[in-house]
Amino acid sequence: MRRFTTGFICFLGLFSLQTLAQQTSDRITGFYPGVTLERFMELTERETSFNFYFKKSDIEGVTVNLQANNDRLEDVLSLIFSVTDLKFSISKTGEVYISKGQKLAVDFPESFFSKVSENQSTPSLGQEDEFVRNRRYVIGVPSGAGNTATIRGQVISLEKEEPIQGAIIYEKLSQSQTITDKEGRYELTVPKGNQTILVQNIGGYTEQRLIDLQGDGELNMSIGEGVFALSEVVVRSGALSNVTRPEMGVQSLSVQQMRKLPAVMGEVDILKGLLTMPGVNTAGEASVGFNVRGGAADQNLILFDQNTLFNPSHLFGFFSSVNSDMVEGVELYKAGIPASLGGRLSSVLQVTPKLGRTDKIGGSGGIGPLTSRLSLDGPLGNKTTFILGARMTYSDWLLDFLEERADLGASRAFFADFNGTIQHQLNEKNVLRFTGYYSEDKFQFDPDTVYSYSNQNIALSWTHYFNDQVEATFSVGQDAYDFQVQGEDNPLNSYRYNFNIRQRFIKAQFRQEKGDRHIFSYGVHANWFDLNPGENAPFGTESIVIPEKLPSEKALETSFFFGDEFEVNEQLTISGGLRYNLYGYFGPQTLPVYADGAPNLPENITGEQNYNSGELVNSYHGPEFRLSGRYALTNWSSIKAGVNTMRQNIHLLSNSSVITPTDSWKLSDAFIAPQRGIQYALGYFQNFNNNTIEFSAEVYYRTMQNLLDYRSGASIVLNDRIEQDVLVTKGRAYGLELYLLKSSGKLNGSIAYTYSRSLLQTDSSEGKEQINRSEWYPSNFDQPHNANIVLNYELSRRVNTTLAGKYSTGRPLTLPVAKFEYGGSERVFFGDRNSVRIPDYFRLDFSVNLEGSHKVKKLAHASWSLGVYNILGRANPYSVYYVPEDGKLQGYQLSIFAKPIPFISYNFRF
Amino acid sequence: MNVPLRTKILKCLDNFQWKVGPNIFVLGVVFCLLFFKSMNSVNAQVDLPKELVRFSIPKTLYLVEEKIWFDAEVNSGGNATPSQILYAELVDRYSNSVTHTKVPLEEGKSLNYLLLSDAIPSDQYLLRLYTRISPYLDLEMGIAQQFVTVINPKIPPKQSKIKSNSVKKQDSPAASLGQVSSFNPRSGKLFDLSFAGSEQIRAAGISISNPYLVLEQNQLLSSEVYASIAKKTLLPELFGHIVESKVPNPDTTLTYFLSLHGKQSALYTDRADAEGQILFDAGGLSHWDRLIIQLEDGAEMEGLEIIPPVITTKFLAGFEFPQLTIPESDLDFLAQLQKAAAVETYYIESYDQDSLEIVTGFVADHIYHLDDYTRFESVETIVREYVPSVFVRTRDKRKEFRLINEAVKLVFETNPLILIDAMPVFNSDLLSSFNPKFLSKLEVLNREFYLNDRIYPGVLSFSSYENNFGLYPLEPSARFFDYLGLQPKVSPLDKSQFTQPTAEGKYPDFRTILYWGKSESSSITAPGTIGEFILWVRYLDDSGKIQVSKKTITIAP
Repeated sequence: MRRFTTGFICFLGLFSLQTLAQQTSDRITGFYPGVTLERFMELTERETSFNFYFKKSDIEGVTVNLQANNDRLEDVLSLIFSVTDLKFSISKTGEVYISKGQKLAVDFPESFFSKVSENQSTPSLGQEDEFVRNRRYVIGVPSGAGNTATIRGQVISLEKEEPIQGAIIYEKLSQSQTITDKEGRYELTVPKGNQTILVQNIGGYTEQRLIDLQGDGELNMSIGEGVFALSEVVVRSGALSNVTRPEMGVQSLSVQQMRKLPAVMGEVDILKGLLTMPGVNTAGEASVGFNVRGGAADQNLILFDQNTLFNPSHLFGFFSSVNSDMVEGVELYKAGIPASLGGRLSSVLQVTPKLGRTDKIGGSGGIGPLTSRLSLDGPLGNKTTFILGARMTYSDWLLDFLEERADLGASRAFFADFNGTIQHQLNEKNVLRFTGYYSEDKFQFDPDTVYSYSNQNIALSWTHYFNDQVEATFSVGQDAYDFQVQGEDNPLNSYRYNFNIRQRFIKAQFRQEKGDRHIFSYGVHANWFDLNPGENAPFGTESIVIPEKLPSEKALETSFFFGDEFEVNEQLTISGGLRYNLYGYFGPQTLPVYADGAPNLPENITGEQNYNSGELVNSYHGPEFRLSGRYALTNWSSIKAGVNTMRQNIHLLSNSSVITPTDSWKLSDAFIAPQRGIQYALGYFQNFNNNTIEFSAEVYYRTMQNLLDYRSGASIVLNDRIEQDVLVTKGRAYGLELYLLKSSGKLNGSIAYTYSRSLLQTDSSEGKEQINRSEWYPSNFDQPHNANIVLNYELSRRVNTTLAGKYSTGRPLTLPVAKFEYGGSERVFFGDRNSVRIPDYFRLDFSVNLEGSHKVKKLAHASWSLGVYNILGRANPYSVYYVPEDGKLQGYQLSIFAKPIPFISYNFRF
Repeated sequence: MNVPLRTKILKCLDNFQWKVGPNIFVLGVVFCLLFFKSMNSVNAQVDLPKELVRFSIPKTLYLVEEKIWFDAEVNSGGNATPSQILYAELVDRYSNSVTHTKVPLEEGKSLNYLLLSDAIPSDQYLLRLYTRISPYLDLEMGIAQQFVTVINPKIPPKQSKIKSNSVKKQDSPAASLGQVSSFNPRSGKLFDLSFAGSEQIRAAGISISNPYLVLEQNQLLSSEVYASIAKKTLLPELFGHIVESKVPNPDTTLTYFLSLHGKQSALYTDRADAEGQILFDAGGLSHWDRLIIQLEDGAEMEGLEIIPPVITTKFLAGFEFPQLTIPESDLDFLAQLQKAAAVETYYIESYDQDSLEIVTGFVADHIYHLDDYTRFESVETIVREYVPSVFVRTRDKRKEFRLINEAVKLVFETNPLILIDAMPVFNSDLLSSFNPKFLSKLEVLNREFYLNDRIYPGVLSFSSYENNFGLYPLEPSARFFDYLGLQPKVSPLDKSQFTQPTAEGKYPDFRTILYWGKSESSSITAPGTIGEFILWVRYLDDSGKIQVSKKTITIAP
């Protein structure tokens, strides 16, 4: 049964009292709470002079739900029938005729006798549909006299729905013609019979109408004003934004794009996808983390929705920690970072999680050589959706593929991750979202030492829409990361070493549109850090290991931000912002006091200072500026420029070029100041071929202060006076990034080339040691030439092949150059830091994706992905190491995968 | 010239596969129409029996948007005619055909209607009924006609400004065939109707009196009306409606494609004869209202025209239509008529129309319901992805389709017959890039397809959801006509609905027809329509002449 509700009717009539008195009986007043239409009509007939006529079958199931207050019957009925197919006609004598579909004509016009009966003109019977050009319109009805007839009508713009003035209307054979007036009207007399009427609009193209003119009649025409009026224009929003968005140095990657990359080890991987982009590099094969524009791996903020992932990888970096089935897309900000994001020096990687679908419960999954994954999503009631995903590894066979010399025969590895999001729509203006993520990695290279680490993240966010212009998201959550090493070589020495960090955050972010030209973004973001820098404890009852624990570190970081995207005019858009960062490092702490001006070395300690719990030890603050602009040269090209400064209060202590599980994080404290950096960037963006080809060229120059490098022989683990081993270092990086992307067509893909340098120099103020005689030296990840190519060839929509290649200059290395005897033992003398390089890196991967049939209705949509990783079998060196053999140092090259590795995986979704 | 018709028809019938299914497009009933072309014009020598057309209508005064119901019969040599189509046409005083309808004849009978569009000006019109051949075989027997008055509230008659009506009606003298129990029944009261001499009676009725037509319900003999009839090709419609078109400077080797569209679609082909005549027999296909004509390969058809199926006549010099003069004092009467028209048309009239669709087509080798598969953005991709029996090839940078001939396991070398909703498509390149989002089905015939005298390398036939070609753009050379197809059969119209008000709801009893039949005795409820009605009886008098007797009945409030 159809039900509908009509609103409250409020009508204020401004009639004279006399008129009101006359019409009162014909006004409707009353409350009708869901009564049938028939009942409503009965009541109305009783109280007014109206009579209703209807077919029973027409009004069945129609109910009336309204309150009327001295309203006209026309208004009330219009409301009641607004959601039905019913029409009504009210005769002069107060009879109301209700009909379905078409309104009945019930009054004979009194003007019948006063109408001029000459020049009878009837409208054309044809319609204006897609066949207007081909249809033969019959115009007029035959009338006796004369061989000619007159057509009248109006010419209207198809796009603007406004009359077109000055359009020329002419008939093909007789060449009689006329021009439309201000209202687009015309009148043309042409011979009766079959004729072709042509309309020529200035600047437009000629339209035709075929007519069979029988008598005077009307022919209205809607014509396109532009040449493209009727052709379909496909807007590619993604590609256009490459040229139009004001920020630069932003790389977006959708899951669809990621799926086109070789599914190495059977998984679509967001980090592998990012590594095909310019300016993004990794120090070695199967490395955790990535380097952006010459920055260290810890200088990237990796956000999964609102949560920070401290370790973005599984299984030595073979897999990224985010299950791609749970991802909607990723955006990497290399420059032009919005003011709302900050906390790292080089980049922000924003991973947008997928939300559960609203129509049905479904899922997806995959079975690969190393991992299996499964996700489920769907609605929970009308307003709630969920998505849950899990991933697990189950095979150690991969480790057998590692180079034999690595001697990892006893290795075992395991990882798993779980994540989920529940979103609940409270009402039209409020949305709640809960996100959780948990991952665990465990591996061992020999039977008695087990390494493990874990990410744990939860967040709750509430989005509120104040009005059409203002919305806000408030979020609260915790990000945690810990690792531990468990050694059971022998029961006496068994130990458990662990490190962990907790970051609790609260964030309020507002987005406001101001007019058509401004989009403001403002808010506050606070992080509370609680860090356990390291603890070594005996493991097992027999262990005699002495417990050792570094004092925990606590800090509060608060940032206020304001940003504006300002469209100055159609060509120029500026995006700018300010983020002010306040940082406080809190006790309890007992810190040494070093002599003024002296380097932080044990011999310079002059005393000790105690700080109570919650007492401020040291604070730092400073602004971060963000400014970028886009100037559109044409619709398809633009130049962009930007400058941004960043601050970073948390540092990864690592003496390798990549993130390793034993790396630990360190907060800025009394001795270690926040890292600071500034980046200048300039770019040219151009799209070709109807936006199907995107090209960009960007140059950048960065300087960085307060970076950490280490003294020769520094130890990082359980080092409670790390300030004595780190060297305050300056950095600079510069480069050129070229990127060409073809996003559609049978052959698509991308080519990225980056020339970049990343150099370090020990700060002149550093008194402990000056690396390489205070000269600039390459950082661990300085790889000047880097090229990526991804070629996709679509044999059909079901068979897709991909070839991906990667080339980069070998990373720098410090080599031993001499050995000598000292104190009775042989010592090695190393040359300048990072003065030589390992051989260049080159790898080609190939994969084929086979999709299942195109049938829509089936149990699950399945696909196969198979291919070969490192198809050339090239032994790319990961590192070079030296082993003394027969009294000589023998150098060896370590390759992770020196052979082609085939892979196959089965994926499904339902 | 004198080859017997029946033999020719049998010769020309093509064997065809038929298929059942709702809303499928219909691939034509294909008749070889060459034999028609040998019969150039009306020829007295033609060995066809004359057809006698008779009809009755319940009343003579109509407002636009009303239906003129007619009950017609066509006999041929004493038997029901084999003709399948009857034409009802409205002609104005200048011999112009104002509107017409084509209705099916079943055993020579038809009860159907002619809908009056609101484009028809107020005037007196001649309503005439005939078959496609009856007027040419015998003008007198072949056309039945009478005057009707049509009032269009928006278009008054040319002479409407008179103060009072000069038409005075009198009961006819021989008016004893129909008897009523009361000549002044009060509204809502019953009165009885009976007939004497029913064997003489052809038709009878009680309807609102037409004050604007003196001789209402009197039918006219063609000999009283026409001076001549324009000669035309004799086209017996023994299977269904024949669409006739003509093209100047014909090339008789080229095939013309006619596709009919509406609820159903169908394809027909023919070649032009030396005179440029092209004929398509639509058979019994109804439910269509548009047609498209194309020449093979999408070539231009300069000057192509459709020949209307109605007759063209010239009135006798002395023959004149009665003038329609409506006095201003009739406004109340007209207002009552207007309401009556609305009530009768919408609330009272109750009938069903034959919704059976003619089910024809070809039996496809493969059928793809496109919604069952992933939707792709071009026809080319669809074919490449999941239609294994069709290939897409590029020739001279243009896409073409090649079907596998499953009968001989080879691939055809040219484009198949491509259809969208039965409309032929010649530009395979345009189709291959067309987005099929509004197309619902693809049927493939992977073998040679015979259509008249042509053999096509398979068929690739798409159907749209709404029979609108999935918005595929028509070829610029295609010609599109709004051409009403056969009006479906009315089955049945219960004539007793005129005698009593129905109670399917709440509405006033504004009937203008109280009885329409032959000579059945009835008990009639007097309507709410106040005023003069007329009891008319059309009968055969003793001399064998048709006469009409009339009596006035006045309905009192």
